[in-house]
Amino acid sequence: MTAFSARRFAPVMAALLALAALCAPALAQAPLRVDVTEGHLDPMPVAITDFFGADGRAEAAGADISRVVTTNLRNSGLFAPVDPAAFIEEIDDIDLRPRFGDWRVIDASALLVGEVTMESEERMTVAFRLWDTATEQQMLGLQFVTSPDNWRRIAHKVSDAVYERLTGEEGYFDTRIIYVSEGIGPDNVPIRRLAVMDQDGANPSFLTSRDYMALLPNYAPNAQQITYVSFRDGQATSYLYDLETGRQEALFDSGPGLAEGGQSLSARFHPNGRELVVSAERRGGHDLFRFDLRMRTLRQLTSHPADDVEPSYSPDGEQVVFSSSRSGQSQLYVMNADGSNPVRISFGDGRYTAPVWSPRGDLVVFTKQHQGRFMLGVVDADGSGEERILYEGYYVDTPAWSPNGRVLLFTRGDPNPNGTEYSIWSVDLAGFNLRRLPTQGAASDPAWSPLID
Amino acid sequence: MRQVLGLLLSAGLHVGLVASALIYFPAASRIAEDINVVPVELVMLADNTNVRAARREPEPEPVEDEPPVETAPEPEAAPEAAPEAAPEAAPEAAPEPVQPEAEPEVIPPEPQAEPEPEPAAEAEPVPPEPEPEPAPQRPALDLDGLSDLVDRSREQRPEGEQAEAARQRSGAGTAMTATLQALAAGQIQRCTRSNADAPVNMDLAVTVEVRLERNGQLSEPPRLKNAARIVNSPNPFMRVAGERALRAVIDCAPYDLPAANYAEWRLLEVNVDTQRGR
Repeated sequence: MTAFSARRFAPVMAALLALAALCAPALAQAPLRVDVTEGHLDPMPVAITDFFGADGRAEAAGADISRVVTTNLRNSGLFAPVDPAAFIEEIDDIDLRPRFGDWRVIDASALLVGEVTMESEERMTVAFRLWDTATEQQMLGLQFVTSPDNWRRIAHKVSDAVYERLTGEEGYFDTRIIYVSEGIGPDNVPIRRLAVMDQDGANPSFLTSRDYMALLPNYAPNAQQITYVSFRDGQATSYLYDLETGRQEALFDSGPGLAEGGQSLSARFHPNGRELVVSAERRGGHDLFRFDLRMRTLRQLTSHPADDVEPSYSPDGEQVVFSSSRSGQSQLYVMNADGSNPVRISFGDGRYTAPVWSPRGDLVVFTKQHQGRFMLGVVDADGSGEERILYEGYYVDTPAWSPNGRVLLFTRGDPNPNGTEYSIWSVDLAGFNLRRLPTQGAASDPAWSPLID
Repeated sequence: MRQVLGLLLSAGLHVGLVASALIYFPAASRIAEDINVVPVELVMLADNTNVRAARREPEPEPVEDEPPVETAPEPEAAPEAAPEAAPEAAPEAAPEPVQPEAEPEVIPPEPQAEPEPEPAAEAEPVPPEPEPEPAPQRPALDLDGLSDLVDRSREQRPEGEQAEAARQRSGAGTAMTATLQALAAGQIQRCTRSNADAPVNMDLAVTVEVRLERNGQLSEPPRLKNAARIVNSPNPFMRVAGERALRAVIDCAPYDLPAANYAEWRLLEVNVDTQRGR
């Protein structure tokens, strides 16, 4: 088309366009459809202001609470607390809408503001609001009333509330971790004692004495009891330990003992808290048993000639995952809780051990030993899909889930001149955020409590 | 595990021997590790409704009209709402601090985690799959010819016309539509927090309507389609998916899209389904 003809057509064009413009509003409504199927997993930037207070005491408590919340959220790997030095707006009233622009400009997606009020010596109020700086909406507003001594627990509860609101899943900050503190006594006798601490390492203390060895603790669903294996009088026995009263009792007194070189009696709770599933040796081989805590009865679940060990219930209590050498070297199996219908769920090379069912129900964590390496991995509980390896190292053992099923703790062994040094590490389900648990000295066998309430 | 146990067992035998020689341990002799019962009362803070509008320029008008926090009926009377079982808590408010058995092996309270970032699972970038979607055709017009004309005379025409022409032109070819889709998706994706942390097999697809200015800025706050269903979903992951999608389209504005095609992208319907990309 030539310039000339273009000019000639210009009036026609204008008319057409005018016509089109009239219809434009309707036509323009046809949206451009955009599919977004990928996203990032970067930590979410969150601004956490110091919870302010009217007097010095409240102010100090507020700063402490903010510090613990900041550490919790950062350590989760899902949040990136913004450096307070970058804050523009100074918040001194949580009932005032923040100037969201001030927070967006420092890239804070969410803003946490709070206030501490000392009502009296024994009474403290902690109120906070969580804002979405993009939509400028309040996402959460809560107030806790408690005694000032409890500020740390309140900080964990605030962390849990924020975590749950921003991720959709339950938090895990107001929890405790029991583990085996490893030491060497006189004459090079190893000392293994149960110790407990808050999830973030605060408030550590010992649960058992140094006079006998304790290992493999497991929490009851109510967080009030644990089972563990104790070596006393040359005998390894499962114990039930009531954390509230301190009362301990040996389970299966007259029941199956443990032969030398055999597996421990690792007892785990049924989700109903009234039963245990346990592996024990009877007539030469290890089998799985169900132990009724009220009736004190032991019922045999498996009787395969091969060893069946390390049982763990599904969260609905309907099934049990365990490791067994029935196909040669140790592999993972799932059976009904009554012992029927065992199905193999691991098929890779190597020895699979230490399975634990995820609190979410969909996955089983395991350790695997192959060609001299140890791995921590997860596999679908129904055996479908590929296994995913989350960590690989010199030595890996005793995985434990966070109560929300998002983080795993495990014992990691590293070679040192005196043998192997044990420590507890956490890693998330994606294999990210590997960090060492803040225990003093060597530690192993972590057990993560349910949320405390 | 087994070799460690073997080792432990042998050590255990020794310890057991010593222990049994020393003293008999009554089963219930340990100090209890008291699980702290925190007497907590929980009160919901009312949301925006009792939050003051903005900077209170005028005056610090105290207490009266704005109850800072919706103080629930009576703090004491709300044990139900509390996450803590308050009842029995009162007397035990000071849980006996369990002494680490009078030994100097006190574990330091403020530990430093030793982060060892080890990125693993990498999400491999999937090239945006443009889904050709023909724009509505207008039958009676020779669009090709027209758009050609429009193209040439674009410089002389006011903006509105340009845009309209662009719309027509893009309507003529799905390639441009696909390009725009890919351009927009690529930009929004950068700000989208994946829902890959939600349980597998959960349908968390949400759709956001986004209205844009010619300069790529949002012309109004984006809206979730079926917002009520998402916001009130019993599935918290669904609610979070909705929020993440909204946040993504807000965070990534302004959008860099060809101005000539403004008419085509002034309204976006963004379907966010990061579960699909897993």
